[in-house]
Amino acid sequence: MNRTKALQKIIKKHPNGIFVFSNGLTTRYAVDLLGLDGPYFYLLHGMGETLSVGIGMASSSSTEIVVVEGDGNALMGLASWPLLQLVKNLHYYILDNGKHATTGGQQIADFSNFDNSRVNRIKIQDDSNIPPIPPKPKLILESFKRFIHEG
Amino acid sequence: MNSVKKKFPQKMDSNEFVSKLIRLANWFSGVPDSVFKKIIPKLEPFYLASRENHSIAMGFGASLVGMKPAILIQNSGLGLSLDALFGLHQLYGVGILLIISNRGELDWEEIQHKLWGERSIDLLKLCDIATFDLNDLGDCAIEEAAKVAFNEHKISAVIIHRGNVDE
Repeated sequence: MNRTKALQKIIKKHPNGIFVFSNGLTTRYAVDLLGLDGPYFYLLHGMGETLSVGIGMASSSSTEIVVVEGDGNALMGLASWPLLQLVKNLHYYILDNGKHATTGGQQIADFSNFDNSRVNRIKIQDDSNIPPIPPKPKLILESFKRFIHEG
Repeated sequence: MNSVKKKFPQKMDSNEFVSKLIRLANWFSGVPDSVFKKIIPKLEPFYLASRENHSIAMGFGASLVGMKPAILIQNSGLGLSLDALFGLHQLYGVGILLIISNRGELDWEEIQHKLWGERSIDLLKLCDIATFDLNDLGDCAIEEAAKVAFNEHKISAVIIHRGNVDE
């Protein structure tokens, strides 16, 4: 499965969700697929923090929060995994290609044996066409806030 | 700041501190420090984080859904926090209120705190983080820092010196 198909599958599974995507190719593909007009927050940096951002959102929202990040990001944020216990309304997905695809394909250590019942790991293969760089942060934030306030 | 042998003067007791803080912020997280011993149990709920950077990032997420987060960390936690502060709050223009205990200023504190005690205030200035010193401003420090965080949408920090709040 490629990254776009994996994203489509996740989106379809959570029709009422609010989504947070990790920086790097995950955000690039997601914004290319979904655009700004919807319940999507795209991280441009904050490596390893996607799950924590989602947990913060879930702690103060009754809506389903869906966190999607690459395995490189997930590895960087491993110390945040126990914080998943703080919230129940969060679904956590890792798109696993076994490497840091954004920075040149460096292989990462296999940490799948740390997975627990809250971790949904989807194996993906890379596409050859990389989408353009995402929109500016101000635009991402404004679009997201508009969605939160106006629905 | 000159070396202080015992403790800094008390400016607020922990009840006053909490009562002021909960009027200005409504979401609390952080990593424990002995300076916060009497404060953290009075903040409900308090989202205890595994590391400071994750606390900062959780606060960012809470802001996205309309909360006003205050994050309590020891000054050494700044080292871990900066990438989250730069890559989330400063990048998107989202404010957050940091409550930072400035460990390592007192003669009797253990040696591992000293470097952070000497450098934290300068580091915050370098990072363009507005600081409000509880020792100088008393409880106004919390109010002024909250204005910067939640009205101006910038990162701000209240600095607590050991002794400023009872432990």
